[in-house]
Amino acid sequence: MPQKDALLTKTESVQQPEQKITGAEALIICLLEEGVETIFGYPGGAIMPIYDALYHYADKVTHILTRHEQGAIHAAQGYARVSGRPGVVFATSGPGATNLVTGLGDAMIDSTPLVCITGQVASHLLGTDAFQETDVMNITIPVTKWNVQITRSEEIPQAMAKAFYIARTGRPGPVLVDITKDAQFGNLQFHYEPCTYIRTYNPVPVLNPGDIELAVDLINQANKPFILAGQGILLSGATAELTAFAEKSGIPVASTLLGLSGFPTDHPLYAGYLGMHGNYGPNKNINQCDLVIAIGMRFDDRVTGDLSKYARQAKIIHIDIDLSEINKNIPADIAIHADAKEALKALIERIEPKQHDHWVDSFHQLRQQEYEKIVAGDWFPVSGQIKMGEVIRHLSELTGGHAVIVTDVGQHQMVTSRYFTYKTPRTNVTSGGLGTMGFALPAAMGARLGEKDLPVIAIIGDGGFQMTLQELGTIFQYNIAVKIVVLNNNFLGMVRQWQQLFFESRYSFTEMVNPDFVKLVQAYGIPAVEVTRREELSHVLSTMLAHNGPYFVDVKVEKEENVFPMVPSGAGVSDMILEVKK
Amino acid sequence: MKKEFTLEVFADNNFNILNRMINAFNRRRIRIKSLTAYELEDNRLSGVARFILYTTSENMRKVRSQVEKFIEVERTVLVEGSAAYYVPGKQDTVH
Repeated sequence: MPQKDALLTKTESVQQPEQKITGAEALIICLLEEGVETIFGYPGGAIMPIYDALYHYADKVTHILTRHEQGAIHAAQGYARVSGRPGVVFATSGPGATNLVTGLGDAMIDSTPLVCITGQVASHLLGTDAFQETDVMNITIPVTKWNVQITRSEEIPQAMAKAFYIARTGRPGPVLVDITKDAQFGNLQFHYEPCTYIRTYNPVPVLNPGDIELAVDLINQANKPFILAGQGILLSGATAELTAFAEKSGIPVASTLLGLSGFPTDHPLYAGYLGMHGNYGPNKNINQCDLVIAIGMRFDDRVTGDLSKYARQAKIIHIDIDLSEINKNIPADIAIHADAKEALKALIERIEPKQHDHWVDSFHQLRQQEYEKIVAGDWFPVSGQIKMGEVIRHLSELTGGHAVIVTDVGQHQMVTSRYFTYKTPRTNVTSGGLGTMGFALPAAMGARLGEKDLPVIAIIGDGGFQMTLQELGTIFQYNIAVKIVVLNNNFLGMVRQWQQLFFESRYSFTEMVNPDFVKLVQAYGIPAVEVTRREELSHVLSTMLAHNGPYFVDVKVEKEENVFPMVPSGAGVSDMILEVKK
Repeated sequence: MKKEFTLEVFADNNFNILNRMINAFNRRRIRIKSLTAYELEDNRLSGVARFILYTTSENMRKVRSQVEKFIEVERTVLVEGSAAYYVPGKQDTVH
């Protein structure tokens, strides 16, 4: 259809009584009503009416055409993680929808608000194995907070309002709305009412003052209390409250992987990063403390190691908005089912001001041990190839810690989490729970579109980079100013490390023969350089950061570098090792 | 030690909610010995699913909490054993 004629189908005002619009147009207006500015997607047969409606609204909403639906959903995740607003994804039926599954799983386990719209075959074809028909609803049940299929256009406004409400409230998560093609074509009288209540859903638990009193007593009596801060701090916007709570109580704070950037890593009370490849101090001292105050975290197995050897001596206060997380892995002495911000505000008012100098000092001593054994060698190597740790040190220094850091999965992710100085909330974007290789490049695109003020740096291994590198096309087309740093060791480094440590160095299919990444990226019109020499590193990274637009750096790093310290798989956290004993 | 539990789930009768519940049990490899599901006579938008499950007390507690989290679920009622609802039959020989 000529553009002029097509534009005639746009409805100028939906406020007129009796005026009917298509389901497809209604969907776009629903997005505008929810304040959506950016959509990540990929069209196809079953979602074409929605894309046709979108054509007429190109002046009101930006659509980013990715190169794969997985790229779209990871981009939406990156957007949501930095902005706090739900990421929106469009995909078609069948393979378009199934390509979203990894991202849905990732968003589900990492509590990321998404609203995914999938086209579906016409309702009379459901269940007939029609072209590009798949049972998206059943496939996505385990990886969505809620999903719904719409077969009548009149259902669209209410379903969309519910979708946004569910995605962003309580413990956030991904929602999928599957819309049949006939529902997109059908007409409805449009009326939009944002959703604020669902009878069976209670996203904001009422804080129990009795629980707070019990917690205050434990906190005031404790000699070696320890705060474990998860992503719940960021999701509830409680970073200022966490700092105020820690400073008044004098309690050291450790961050989970997803909790990073929720507490300044250069704060004197920052104890370090928890987990299998976290810092030495917080892992060792979890079995020395007398009180754990876990806030918005879920005692993931990568944090706890062997549960039977985890904090057995300590009382546990567990604050979480998701009741099913409390007493799931670690039994809580005091369970506070609440939003982190609300709970912290109540605690701050009632706790006594205290200092725990001796206890805090024990973390500093362990940090010093870690520095001497590991960090100094990682940051300031004098010979050999470039080490991952020195790259992160340079990036941290050059940005002053003011950048959005997007990591993929593997050794580079652990090194970055250990060494980057996070100073600003919501500047850590990574795939934590699902451990999705290929996450970082598309997530960084989304992060760039969700956060305009800070530089966005994607740090990726050579394995993960090649899982979604088709998104270089998206970066090129929209000139998305993402800085891409590949730490290239021609290995699936973390798997190789495990093979070395636990499988007698049998490197079974972990070595990669890579193409010339610089030429490849340059083919996409993105400036790209390779770094092999230590002396060039700082200059190249400075050039990358100063460049106005996307930029790629391929850093050739030590081929068989190991990430330490490490809690061996299945061991207790106190069994963390600083080195391999020969 | 595994034993029988009767879990009644009161929920809005949206498409897929029954599948969501079954998925929650399957995911933890909890055996479903019996399942009865029906719409409420006075409100067809709501329904009840009654499961007789065979699992440990700890697993039962945890999975119940996960089922209660589903958007459509209003509440659950848990009873140890199955005497009120379940007539032992051939299923008892399956372990």
